[in-house]
Amino acid sequence: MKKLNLRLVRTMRHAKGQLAALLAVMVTGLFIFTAITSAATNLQTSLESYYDQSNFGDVFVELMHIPSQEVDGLVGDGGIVEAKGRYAFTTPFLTDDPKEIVNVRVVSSGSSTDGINELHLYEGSRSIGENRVLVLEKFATARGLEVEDRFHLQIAGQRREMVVAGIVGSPEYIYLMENEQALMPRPGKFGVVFVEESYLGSIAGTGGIYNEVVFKLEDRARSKEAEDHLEEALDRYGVRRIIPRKDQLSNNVTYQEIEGLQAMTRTVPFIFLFAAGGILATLMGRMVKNDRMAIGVLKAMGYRNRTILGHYMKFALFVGITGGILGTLLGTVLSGFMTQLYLDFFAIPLLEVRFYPENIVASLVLATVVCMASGFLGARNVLAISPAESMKPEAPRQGHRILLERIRFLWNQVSFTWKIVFRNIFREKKKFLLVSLGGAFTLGMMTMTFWMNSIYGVLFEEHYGHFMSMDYTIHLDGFFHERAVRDLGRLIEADHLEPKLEVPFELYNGAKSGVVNVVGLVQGTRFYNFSDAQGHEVPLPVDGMLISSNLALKLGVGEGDLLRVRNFLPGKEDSYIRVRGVIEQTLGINAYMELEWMGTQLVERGAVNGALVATDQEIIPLLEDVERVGGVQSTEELQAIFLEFMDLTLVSIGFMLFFSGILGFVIVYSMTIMSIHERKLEFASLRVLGFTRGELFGLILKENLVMTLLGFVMGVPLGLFFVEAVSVSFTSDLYTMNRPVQPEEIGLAMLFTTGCILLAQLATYKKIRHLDFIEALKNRTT
Amino acid sequence: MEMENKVLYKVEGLSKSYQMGDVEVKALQEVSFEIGEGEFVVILGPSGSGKSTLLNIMGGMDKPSAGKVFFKEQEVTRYDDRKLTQFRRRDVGFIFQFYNLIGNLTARENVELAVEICDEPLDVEEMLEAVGLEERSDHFPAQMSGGEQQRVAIARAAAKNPEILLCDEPTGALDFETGISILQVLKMVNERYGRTVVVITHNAPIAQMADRVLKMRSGKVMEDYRNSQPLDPKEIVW
Repeated sequence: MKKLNLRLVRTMRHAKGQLAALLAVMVTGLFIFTAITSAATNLQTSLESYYDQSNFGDVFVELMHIPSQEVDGLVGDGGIVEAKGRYAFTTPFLTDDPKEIVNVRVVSSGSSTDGINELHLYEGSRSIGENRVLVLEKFATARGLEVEDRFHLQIAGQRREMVVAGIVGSPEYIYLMENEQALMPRPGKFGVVFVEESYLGSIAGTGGIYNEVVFKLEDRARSKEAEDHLEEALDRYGVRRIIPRKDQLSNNVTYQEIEGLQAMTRTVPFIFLFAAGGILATLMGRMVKNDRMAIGVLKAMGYRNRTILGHYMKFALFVGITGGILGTLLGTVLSGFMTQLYLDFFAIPLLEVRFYPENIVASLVLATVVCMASGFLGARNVLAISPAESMKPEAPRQGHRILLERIRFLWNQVSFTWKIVFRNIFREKKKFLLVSLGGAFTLGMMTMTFWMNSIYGVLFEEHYGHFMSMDYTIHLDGFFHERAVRDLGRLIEADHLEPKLEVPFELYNGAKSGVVNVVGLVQGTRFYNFSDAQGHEVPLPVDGMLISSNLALKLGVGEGDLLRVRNFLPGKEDSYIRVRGVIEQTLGINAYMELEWMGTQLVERGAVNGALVATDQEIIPLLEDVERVGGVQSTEELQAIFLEFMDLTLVSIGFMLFFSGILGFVIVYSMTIMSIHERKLEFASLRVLGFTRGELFGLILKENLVMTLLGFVMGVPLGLFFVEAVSVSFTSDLYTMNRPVQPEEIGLAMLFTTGCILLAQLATYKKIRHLDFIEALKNRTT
Repeated sequence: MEMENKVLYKVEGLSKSYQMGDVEVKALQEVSFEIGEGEFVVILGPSGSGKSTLLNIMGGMDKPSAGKVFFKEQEVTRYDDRKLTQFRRRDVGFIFQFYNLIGNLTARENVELAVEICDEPLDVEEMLEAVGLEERSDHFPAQMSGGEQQRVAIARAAAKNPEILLCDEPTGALDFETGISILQVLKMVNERYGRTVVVITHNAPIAQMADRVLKMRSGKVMEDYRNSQPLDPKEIVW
């Protein structure tokens, strides 16, 4: 082995602690990058491949009803190449526990094929007829349903027995959520059952009509044209919603997850790589500075500049390649686990866990580029070292008073050791900045982590505790007169009961539009508390509508603006309704109107299709056989689901805390080790003067604490910035994350950051303990 | 040793000045002399007389403010960085007061480090034996005495098989006996391998072993004389 390489190996062995610390940050950054990139790629390619194989629809239309023979006639115009009608509705799945609410979406299906949205058969037979049906796999697994098992559905007021012919997956229900308001999939509580079309027609009384049509387009990029065409062509059938593929609930949520992952790969790994780059550049710079005389000797011997620079760059290259390989390997393994974890949420039958050479290469290139650039930045001073100058001991730096010293009154109050601390800090500005930035990033990331830890709870509590406070929501099977709700009231002996009208409409502001559920509530409702961004209460207006802030943002409107409401109901024209206020709503995206005014303007006077209930009673058994009741949802049950969801998020929060901690630990550890190494002579002199090891350690501790404090000053705004960035990128139709960071979250983040920094500090104590001050004073070897 | 006709070094009007704060320091002032092949030259002068600066310029480690240095009739002072590196690699071996060994390489590895970049190096084992370190060759610098470290430094410089050894206060950090032993090694290299050796020192008795002595003060060569009967290092006392 070349002697320079041998020297490099021994140097690395000597600095193994710092090297390991540096690699830890590098590997963390790269493994997050590889794991998330690969998981996102796995998810996206599997999804697209599944969509292709199952001939997933491009446009989904929900309407009042369309004669089945009319559907084929829609093909050919507006770029439509295929159309498939179906009848679908939500109905109770009957269980042995009368208190348990389980709903299924019953969808009519072909006896052996559908053409569009083909089902993927996991088990049993695709062939269906009579009461032999197909059950969605997630639901079947959650409920323990197997092929040939029997279960009962409530259809058209009657208990119907069904037999499981097959267990299937559907591209439409990859992410199985009942509706936009649901926080997460509840596979045991909501499922999908595919029933042969003619049989369903006979038992549900829906023969010969459809209420949904799915279309395939020649060119999905021209979806808007097709939507406009369908709006016109299907107008007479009472179009309720036209949903392009991108807005289809399951697809939308899945892509939001993929985009979230991709957004994460553009930020989090780079924080770590930036930190690793900073540490490496500093380490290399210090190494070159300490090796000044050795570099001079090498130059005196005739070693070329590029050879010596290359010697140091090999160190950086080693970190880059080792970090790259380890990070990529770990990331690839983790991506497999992550992808498997996604199986719990996303039912993609063709989900593939693959190795992506391009991701591995990207990761390695990224690591190498970052390390080489940082290495060069740190080691470039090799070029400037003159061999003649390097033979002489470096001239002491020109002393000057630090800023603090000029404030005589203050400086005179400072003890001797603190004077040393402040002088060192001000004279080592680069190190000061790096340690402070390390503290700032750690605090920032921890603040974001603690905020994320509480945000879901807050979203949920805010929505179901403060924003709406009913115990149950009853969904009726259609529009009824308010009297129907009063009848229900007599059945359930509620403490309080209010009628509700909830209908999806498409709201337009110029070219911007969005399909949302518009909710009609009684004036002075006790179940909803509306407030604006400043927290001021907003009363339900007698006319016009209140809209949630995410809807206002989506449509680009504010208070006083007019929105066009596209009305699908037969005989109802589109109308213009004024926005009377913008309210804060943490979950979901909605508009709210006074019940009676909404009925008059958009549906029909006195119409309702649901009720909100406050009661201590179990009302589900009481409503089980009530003909008009389509479903009952309990807030308590939602809370239980939420707790399950929180268990999952705790794992990722734990990861985030660990990674953030690594960042702070490594930066402080590396910088402190470097500092001890460089200041051996200084410390040896202080030891000769009578300083104890503990006092020397105290000096470094004080320096780091001052730097960390400054890091905290920078870290708080950085944390707020991270939180803002996350809240903007996570705010969607499902969530509105605009809750500010709480002081206790910053406090916790500071506590954890201080813990990591103290831990790093303690890890360096060994170096002080083993410092041989006699040797340090006489050592002249390079 | 008699002055040979062939001139190895020719120094002409060499000056070097640099700024130290507001003060301009004149380290060398129009210094001129010649050194012949195979000579053992001692440049004697007190601290600050400019001898280290002179040595650095001769060895291609520094550049003068004015004047010329010729090595085998080639003007070294006109060389660019690349040529200077080549010059140091091929023609010059340096020995420093504080040895400047690479701390995490053994004695043998320090010597090998030097020969790896040379075209016609001497045998590493032979050099280690010549300086009396064959038994200690696997020791790291921290495990060796100052004298042993300086022997390694001499072996490292000589093993490159350069035309000239430039030694900057080679005994400055050593006790008397060790210093004498180092001078013996240098003399041996001069005689056995026929290498030109230039030693700079502030220690006047060392001048007695030189073929030729250049006395310096305040950046100037004050005296340039030849010893008719150079002493063996063993005979020197200080």
